[in-house]
Amino acid sequence: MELPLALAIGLLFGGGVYSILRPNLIRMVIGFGLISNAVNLLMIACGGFTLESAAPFVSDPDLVTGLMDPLPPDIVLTAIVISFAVGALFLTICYVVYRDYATDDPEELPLPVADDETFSPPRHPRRPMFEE
Amino acid sequence: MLESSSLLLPCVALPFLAAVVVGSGSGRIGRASGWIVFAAALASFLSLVPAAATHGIDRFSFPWLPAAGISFALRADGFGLLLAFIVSGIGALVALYSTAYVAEADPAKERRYYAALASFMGAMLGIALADDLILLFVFWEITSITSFLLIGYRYEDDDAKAGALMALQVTALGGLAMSVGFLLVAQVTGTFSISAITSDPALIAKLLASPLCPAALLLVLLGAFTKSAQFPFHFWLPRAMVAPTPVSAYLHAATMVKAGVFLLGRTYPMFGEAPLWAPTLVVVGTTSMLLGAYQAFREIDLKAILARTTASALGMITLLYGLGATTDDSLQILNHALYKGALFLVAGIVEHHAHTRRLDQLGGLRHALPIAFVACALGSLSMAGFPPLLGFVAKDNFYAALLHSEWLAGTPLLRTVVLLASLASSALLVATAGKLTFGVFSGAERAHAHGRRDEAHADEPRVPLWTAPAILAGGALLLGLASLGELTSDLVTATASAPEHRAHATLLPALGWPLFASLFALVLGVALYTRRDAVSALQKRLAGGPAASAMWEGAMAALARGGEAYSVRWQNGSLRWYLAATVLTLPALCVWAFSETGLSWRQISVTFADTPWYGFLFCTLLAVATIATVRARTRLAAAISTTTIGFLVAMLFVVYRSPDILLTQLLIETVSSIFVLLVLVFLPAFPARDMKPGTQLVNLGIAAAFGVTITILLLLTMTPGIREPSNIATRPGGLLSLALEQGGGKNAVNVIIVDIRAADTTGEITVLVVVGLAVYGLLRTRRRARQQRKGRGTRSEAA
Repeated sequence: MELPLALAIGLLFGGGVYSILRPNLIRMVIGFGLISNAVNLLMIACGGFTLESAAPFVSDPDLVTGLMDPLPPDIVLTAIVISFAVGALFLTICYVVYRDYATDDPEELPLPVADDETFSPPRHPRRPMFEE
Repeated sequence: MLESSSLLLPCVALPFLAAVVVGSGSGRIGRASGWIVFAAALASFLSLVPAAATHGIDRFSFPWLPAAGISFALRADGFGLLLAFIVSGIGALVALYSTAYVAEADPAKERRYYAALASFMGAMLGIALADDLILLFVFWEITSITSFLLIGYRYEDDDAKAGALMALQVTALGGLAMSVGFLLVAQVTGTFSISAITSDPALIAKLLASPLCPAALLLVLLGAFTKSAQFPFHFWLPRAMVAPTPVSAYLHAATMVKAGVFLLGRTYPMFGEAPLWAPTLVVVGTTSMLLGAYQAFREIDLKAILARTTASALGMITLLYGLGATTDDSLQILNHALYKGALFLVAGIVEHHAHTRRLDQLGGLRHALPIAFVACALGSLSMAGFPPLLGFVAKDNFYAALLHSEWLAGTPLLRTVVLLASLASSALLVATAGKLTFGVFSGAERAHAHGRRDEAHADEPRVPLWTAPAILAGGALLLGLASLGELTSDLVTATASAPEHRAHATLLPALGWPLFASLFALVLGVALYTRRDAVSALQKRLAGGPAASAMWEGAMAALARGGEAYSVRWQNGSLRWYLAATVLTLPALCVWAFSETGLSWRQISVTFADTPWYGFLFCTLLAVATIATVRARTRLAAAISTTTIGFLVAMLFVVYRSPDILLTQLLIETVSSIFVLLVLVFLPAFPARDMKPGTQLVNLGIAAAFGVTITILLLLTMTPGIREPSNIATRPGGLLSLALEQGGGKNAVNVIIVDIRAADTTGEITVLVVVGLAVYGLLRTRRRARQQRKGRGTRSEAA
């Protein structure tokens, strides 16, 4: 079971990274979702399970050896909820950004304006840090 | 340990209090600021008297950071009291002097000056009395910062800014090095208390035997050398002469530069026996002494001359510490503070009067400024080492220490070099002293000085101006005369850093080599002075070569350029660039870790053998859905395939027998699908083509590197033999048993969530609440930002 799962997780990570590098906010949010799912699967995959182990329902405190480790699913449970929350926040930000700036490309957003007048921008910037 | 009788805390706190009063005071304080600081300095001075009069050693201490073993500990031993008396006494005189010298049109600027001066005084008192290494470091840094403010007082002037910055850079660099040295000392000895270390021979032996000792020693010395303007850090002191003259007198003659040699005296008991101590100090001290004297003779600016002679005198003290002459170090420190303070203040009077500090424009001021003339003559005589002034006594003791040093006797060549350098620099100082006094006060009054004399300042109060140098120069004379008796010897012995025996400070030294050396230097100096034009011409011919201050500025500029280049290259404000750098770090670290540990993907022994048919099915579908998501051309397709991925992950949770996360995943995936579809309605369609083919290829490479690395890591983790199976949860009595017995629930995952890791779950709920509030807040914002930003450039336009 491990080999196909590891390959699928690797593909999920690769797809997620490819998506967050694209100049499109929605694709970045989707990439974030892919990476979240990949991380959750990874936790479970390297949690030391075998297909023979049973779900962690305990009826006798002395008969626990055949059961699964309950910690990885615990952490994943928290992670699922939190990644949903963060994803929802990202989506909202996408919406607000598009509403206010009419673009979904983060590189096209206006530059922050330097408040400090004495700030001198770099002389030969690859990309200017502040609006001049 | 709190002693109600101890006045040490008020002594240190009073100047800071005065700084707050003066600095935050309104216009009503006005011209009184100088007098407030004067009063605070005087009060500090007087509050030291009980500590000096007690037979034991006065202490004050309370726990500051007890967990780290750091305490606010003050301790008034003789050596510390000497510096404290100098700091508060000369501080009072300088404040008095400043009331006449610093007359600004803007009272606020004047208040800032006095606030910085008073803070500096408090910090110097702290250095003198601190008995805790960290406390000493804190006060040390305060002096660096306040001296920056004081040197840069005339900040309209570019020279003032540059000089202040250089002083701060050099002394702060040394201070940081020193703090690391202190931490090393504390790590070896286990305490930050200076007196606890120096009073315990076992701790000192432990420190000296430690392999960290050379590093600690050199770092602490770096702090001392930068503060005391020792070679190769001698260049900042002349540049700091842009400060108002009272500041120069106070910081750069009497007190701050003394902090460096004071630190040498404080740490001598710890490091004195270390093999590096003597050679480093002797070489650095001798070089600074000779270089300072040589450069002093070359200068024509009064204050620059004095700055160079200060570096020279401090070099002499450093040399003495290298030789272990801790019995009469207080004599040298006191002597220098008295005559150099007087000379600086005289320079201020001269500048005030004649509006120039250049020797070639001055002359014949003895009638106009008689008291300053006498003070300057006494100070110069003391600097040159003529009897009956204290300088003669000090110089005699210096040569005695040099000629009687056992360490130097063991290295004849170095002994000869040091002796010759000492004679040369003594003679040069004699000649410089002559140049100074005669150049300014004798001869005919120059037209330049005469023409502008007494126009602006004729009606100003002169008393505060000449009181201070008169007292200091008088002190040098009186203490010199007092050494006919026992008074000076008593004083020196009581205030020495580590008196091994009674010091001999006398105007009538026994006939011997030290006296001959001292007299020979005087004769040589007078000869040099009579031939001063020839010497100057020779110096001019020798001039050239790299200037240390220019090299430092070059190094600082290179540092700034490096930082700027780094920022432009790596901190360019592009989100994609940051993400790519972050993502690529993982494969890079893995390649490094694999090569370090010898791990490799060849060790993976996981195969398809035990995979059931549904495992293949779900993983294949997951792969297809992932590719479909990435390649989706429409928003709807992307949303649907993302949801598919979510449900397939849920199916894999079934395979792994995790019902709790399965339910959670199903619920969350359903909710988020609805949410995504809801938001996508308001968002634009995907652009047909958003990346250039080249960019696409690079991104693909980055993604592939990341995915492959994760896969290899995961498979290595799964390989039996590399992974060590842990049964923390599944052994009897582990988490699973605990869940049933103490949590009282059969579903271990549930029990852990709500009971054993309840705090985590609370945090998770908090995240949900915060996100809910943030979403609500974001949606309620109006479209004002868009209107505000209309007309401004965008990132791509600006690029």
